[in-house]
Amino acid sequence: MNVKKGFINILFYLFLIFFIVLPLISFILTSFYKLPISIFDFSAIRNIIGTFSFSNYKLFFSNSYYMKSLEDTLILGIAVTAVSLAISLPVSYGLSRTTMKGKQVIRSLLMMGIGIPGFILTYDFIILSTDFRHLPFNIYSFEGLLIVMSLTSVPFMVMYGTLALGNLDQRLIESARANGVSEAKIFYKIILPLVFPGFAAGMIIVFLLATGSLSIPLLLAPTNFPIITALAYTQLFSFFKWGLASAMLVLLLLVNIFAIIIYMVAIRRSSSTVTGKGFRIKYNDNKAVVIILTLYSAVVAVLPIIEIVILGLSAFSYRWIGTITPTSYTIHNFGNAFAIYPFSIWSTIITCLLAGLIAVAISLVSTYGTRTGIIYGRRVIDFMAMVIFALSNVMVGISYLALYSNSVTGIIVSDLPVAMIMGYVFARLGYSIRSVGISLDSVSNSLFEAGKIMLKGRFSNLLYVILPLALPGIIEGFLLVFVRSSIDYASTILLAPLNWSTLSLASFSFISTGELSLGAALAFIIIMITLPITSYLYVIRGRSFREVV
Amino acid sequence: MVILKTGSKVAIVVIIVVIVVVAVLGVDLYVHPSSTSKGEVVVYADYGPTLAQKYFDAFTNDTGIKVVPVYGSMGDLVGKLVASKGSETADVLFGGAPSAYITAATQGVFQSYTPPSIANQSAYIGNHVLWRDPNWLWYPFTYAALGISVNTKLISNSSVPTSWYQLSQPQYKGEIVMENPTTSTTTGLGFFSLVAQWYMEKYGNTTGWTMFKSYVHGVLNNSVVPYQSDDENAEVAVGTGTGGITIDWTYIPTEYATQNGYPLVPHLMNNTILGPTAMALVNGAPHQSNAQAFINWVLSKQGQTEIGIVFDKPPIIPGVPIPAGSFSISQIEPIAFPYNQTWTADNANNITAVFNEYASS
Repeated sequence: MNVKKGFINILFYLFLIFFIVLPLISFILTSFYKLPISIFDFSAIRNIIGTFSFSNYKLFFSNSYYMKSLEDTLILGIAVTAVSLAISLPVSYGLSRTTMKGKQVIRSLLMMGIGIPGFILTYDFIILSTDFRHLPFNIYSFEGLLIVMSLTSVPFMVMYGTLALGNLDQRLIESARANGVSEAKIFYKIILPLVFPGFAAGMIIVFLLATGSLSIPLLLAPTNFPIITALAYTQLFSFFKWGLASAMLVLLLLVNIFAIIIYMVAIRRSSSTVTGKGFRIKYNDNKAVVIILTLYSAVVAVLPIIEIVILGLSAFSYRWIGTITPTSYTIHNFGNAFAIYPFSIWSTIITCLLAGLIAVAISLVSTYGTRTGIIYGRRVIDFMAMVIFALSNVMVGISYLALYSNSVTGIIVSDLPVAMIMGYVFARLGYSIRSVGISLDSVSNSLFEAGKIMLKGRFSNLLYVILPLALPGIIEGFLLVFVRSSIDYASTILLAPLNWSTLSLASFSFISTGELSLGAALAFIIIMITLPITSYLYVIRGRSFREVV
Repeated sequence: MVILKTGSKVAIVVIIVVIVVVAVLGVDLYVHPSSTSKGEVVVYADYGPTLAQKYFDAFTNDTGIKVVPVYGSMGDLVGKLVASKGSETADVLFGGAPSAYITAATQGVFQSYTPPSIANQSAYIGNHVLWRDPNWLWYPFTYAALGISVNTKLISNSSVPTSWYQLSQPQYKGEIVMENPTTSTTTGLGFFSLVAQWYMEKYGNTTGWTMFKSYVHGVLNNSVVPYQSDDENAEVAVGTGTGGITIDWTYIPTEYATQNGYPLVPHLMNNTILGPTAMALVNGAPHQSNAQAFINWVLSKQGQTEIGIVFDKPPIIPGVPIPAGSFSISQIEPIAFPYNQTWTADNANNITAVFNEYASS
């Protein structure tokens, strides 16, 4: 049994090393040089090892504009986290703790927001700003950046907040009240420790998304508020300063790792375990509360609809200049776009589907395996997944390209979309591990133990007990990885083999050269693919959850 | 507790995964029998896909060789070339400014090739305008002149600036749509580098640089925010009335006027840049002969004629008509500044630092 366990651990960690650790090392080595370095290229490393230096870091710290970019990125990350939490909290409460009507609809509408590429949302606002001229703020400012990025983060925060509040067992609150505990103490000693892990998970993910975002700052960040990812991108792709760009992103990575450490310490201090039977949620059915929250949630949830409408108008427009709606329409934008990128739909579906499946498989193995003692080092695994999540997608693309572009492993970059799929998986593994982990954490230990006793072995336990209970988290994790992979641009441009251009890559190619209608057409297709999937999965999720309870 | 019929459901999931994996491999093997077959050439193109595809289709119709294009900005494409050394898939890099090619050439991504139809063209025009790499690492297939694009509904004919200097004058406050040179490395960086070189040639390096910084301050004072990421977005901004004037290559306003109906006209300026648009053969290109066939076709009479038909851009070989709205080399050369592309490539960071200093103040 120990040999079998050891073998499983070796396989598992080798997999993580090959696809997380080695690319990271290559990326970090590049920051000490001027060109991308592959750790497999031993002769090249031997030749250039004497030229490694800290010059890129010295250049960064001696330049006040570069330093400002790091400071501004942190400010943006914290501000986006705070604003999106404030916006999403009432919605999360309404969805998980009240008898609000239309929960599935609201949840589905919000999930649509996750599937809308950041550059499309940005272009929606640019269109509003340029053609409508009715925005009450300047889109190209810190305020504009904050508003757009917060709106893209609200769906994540709502999702994690809902999961967190949904894990609150009413029995604990009632028994505390019965024992004369004050409401304030109930909140600080019972409610907060139970919901904090879920909210903290949402906050750290939103923070990492905000600081690692590229497409939105590239389009909106004003010159007096530089963002480090956009600055690194232009250093790399405008001036080919690989070393300086990598150094900038290594520094951002260190900041993000520090944030992750704070999160992990906070979780360890505040985590609570609840055991016993009969988990119960008490739903707030106060009419005034329900009505207010329903209206508020509907307003928040309708924002993705507005984005899609604007996107749709652009996708079907032939001419749209300075008017509220296009002055003429056409259906040929779709055909014209697909004439140039005929395989893009299949490329998107195949690669993102596989990425989602692989991500949840790894998440389930790691979370269940560490929970039951099959896999060692839960916190190491969590940390590794969050570290890669802390990298911006462009650096995942560069790391993989630098590491695997050689005569031995080049096939997984240039011929088969393996590096592309694995890049999607490991850039988004944090989503699925968090989702699956939250769901598994809500399963009481007594169920685990009962399953192990009654069923034959851990696999039966996994199949008949754990899977049904963890299904909501698995579906959430798959969903997030699928839709976020489908809108990826930064790593796709680097890792997609020939003929494997995705809808997102093709869309951005059109938009960046001013062919907005064609780009909008392909982005519209992305939404049409992700929307029914998210809606269907949420219906299934709701049914499974009710059956299990 | 509900016990799901998970045995069969797990089996279904496994079967689906297997089918998808087989489909991935099957698609790659049967729909795309190899990454590219012998009758194909892979072109990394810094062009809008719609127009470029028309051009590539013309090549395919003429030669039977299929073009497999990869579209992106110069930075993205060169980044991919540099990082994928050792397992190259690209054959030709097509489009983009010489300054980008000069920098890219230092990364060792190009190989020397002399296209027969332009073998007698010297590296410099008029002894001061860099036309091609002296070692044939990159070479032009068309050219453009830097001018201004004017919204005729906002700026009357009599108010159009007649020099670069006038752009910094108070009468144009709120009218200039400026490109950010950090992201607009062809137009934005080209313009600011041109001005810097002009001041330094006239007043010496130190005084000239100081005067250049004052000029940047003046122009940015007259500019609307945001600064545009590239000239395409700048044309859209001017076309929709955000500002009245932007800096751009003279063929572009006509393109946007024709395709989008924007009220834009180009104006050629004194001390312009005569800017070749370049291409290059990738070092280690997997389809050498097809890549050379592509380059040779682009520089043939047929290919140069298609440049004018598809892109509205002028040819660089004799005997091919110049599209309406374009200017000949003989018209541009007398008013062209001896613009130094290499200096631009070497000083890009300094120029953008000046821009950032005034733009963030």
